[in-house]
Amino acid sequence: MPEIIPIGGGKGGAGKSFIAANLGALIAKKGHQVVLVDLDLGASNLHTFLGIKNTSGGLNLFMTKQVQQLAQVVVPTHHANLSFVNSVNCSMQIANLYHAQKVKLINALKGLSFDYIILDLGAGTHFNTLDFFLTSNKSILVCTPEPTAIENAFRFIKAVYLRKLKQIIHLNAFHKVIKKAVLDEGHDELGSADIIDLVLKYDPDHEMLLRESISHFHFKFILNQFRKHMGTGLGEKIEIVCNRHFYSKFHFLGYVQFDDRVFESVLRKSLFTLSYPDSSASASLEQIATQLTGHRTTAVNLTEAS
Amino acid sequence: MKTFKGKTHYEVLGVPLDAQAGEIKRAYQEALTLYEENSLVTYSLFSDAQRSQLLQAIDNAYHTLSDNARRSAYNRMLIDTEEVSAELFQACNPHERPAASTLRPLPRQCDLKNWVKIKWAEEKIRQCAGEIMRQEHIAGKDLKQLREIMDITLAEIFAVTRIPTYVLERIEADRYDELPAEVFLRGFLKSYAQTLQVDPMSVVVGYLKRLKHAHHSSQNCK
Ligand SMILES: Nc1ncnc2c1ncn2[C@@H]1O[C@H](COP(=O)(O)OP(=O)(O)O)[C@@H](O)[C@H]1O
Ligand SMILES: [Mg+2]
Repeated sequence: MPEIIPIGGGKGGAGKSFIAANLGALIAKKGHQVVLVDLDLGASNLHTFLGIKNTSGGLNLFMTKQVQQLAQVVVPTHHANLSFVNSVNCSMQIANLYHAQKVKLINALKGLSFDYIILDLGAGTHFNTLDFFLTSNKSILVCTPEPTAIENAFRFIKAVYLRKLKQIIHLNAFHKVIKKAVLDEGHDELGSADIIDLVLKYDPDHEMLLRESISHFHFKFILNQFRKHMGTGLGEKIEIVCNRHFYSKFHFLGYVQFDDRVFESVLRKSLFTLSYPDSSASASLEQIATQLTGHRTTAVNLTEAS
Repeated sequence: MKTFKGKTHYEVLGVPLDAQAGEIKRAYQEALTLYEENSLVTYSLFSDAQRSQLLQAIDNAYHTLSDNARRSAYNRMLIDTEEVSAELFQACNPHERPAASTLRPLPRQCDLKNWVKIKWAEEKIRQCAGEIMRQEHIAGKDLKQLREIMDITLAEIFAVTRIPTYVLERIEADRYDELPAEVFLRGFLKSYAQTLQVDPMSVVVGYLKRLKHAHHSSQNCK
């Protein structure tokens, strides 16, 4: 089974694509088969970080049924074990993705034969983005240590949360009053607390189920573009507060430092972590890649062991 | 979103029951940095009303715990309402603290987590846990064994999970007839397993299998 790692977060420019590309490369370097999928439909730029110029083909061919299999639009990158699906030519934007197309895409992603499938998501809290974020329990939220970014991150978390609650209610036998209230269109103003209240009122027997299911969902997060003067402890404190006040588990993966050379690497079409492996940002990303893959052996490890 | 509702003052400040004045003061200041209006940590996370409620709870907790007389009265109340068992307080009377070496300080939530992590690094523990988790049926005494070699007391499990110690005792002693209803039992087993950092699902399934098996055979005997 492939592990899907969606990378999202509310704000544009936080570094989702930068982190996706570099984590992908670092995990691939460990000997795992990795595919990076650009799902920032309408604003894709993951190919730029990977230094890929030829962006013909890609996801568009699969979505418009010009090819049958998603695997047919996966292309190699300049790096061993690292493959890529671009979405540059996708005519549709995330908002225009129909439900059936989304389900087809998610199922196709789950069927790719790779060890890790990294999804680079777009900004915002459109429900299609939330659904990609919810395809796995290993999703990572990228945020920068600024008030506006943190505000967006919390908004994103609450939106994911609400979407997850709705999914649970949709998939289980909840009382019809709740189903109707939650799943009917035009109830967007219903918050998570309202839903829990509704369940307590009409269907208290299912409250445990709701809490249980929501507690199974895990958020991981990274603070990117961190600068020395910002003081330490911010990520750890956010983790404490979120674990205290949300029902899901939060895990802070670490800080990735701001580095001027990121910009220059993009211009030179080379991956930052591979060009500057000794920088502190690369060391942090390496440490995060290790945390994410710690539990899995690679084909290389296996042959060494035997 | 969870508030501090139902949490003790100790939990609100994140201090152990035997916290000293200095520790309480530091925890209070730390809590303010998390929840005060301009804190980056919780920026936009709460509505104004929620935030002022949280700050109120933090102030209350500090006001009570930083004053010896108020704190004693509060402790008494916790014991009387069975929020916290008396033995827990006895173990850490702030006035006659046993030497540090005889009593590991009561962990706060995150300390116990680290403690279990450290314990997991030991081969003996991994082996024991591995054996238990491979069984189809899991008994309360298995859980007890694992807890004890990790050097964790029931009181500590209670402090994190809020499962009353008498319930924990019954779970560990496999006193099936005295256990709470299955929905609650599942929840309890799950948080117990999580505290020991073993797979919650396997524990719930394994424990219930053994329980149902026992019920079945006792009925057959009749
Ligand atoms: N750690 C970092 N240090 C310096 N620049 C960074 C860092 N992370 C990202 N950037 C830069 O910030 C910009 C936005 O990053 P990007 O990954 O495209 O954001 P997103 O995908 O979240 O919209 C890019 O120009 C990128 O080079
Ligand atoms: Mg991007």
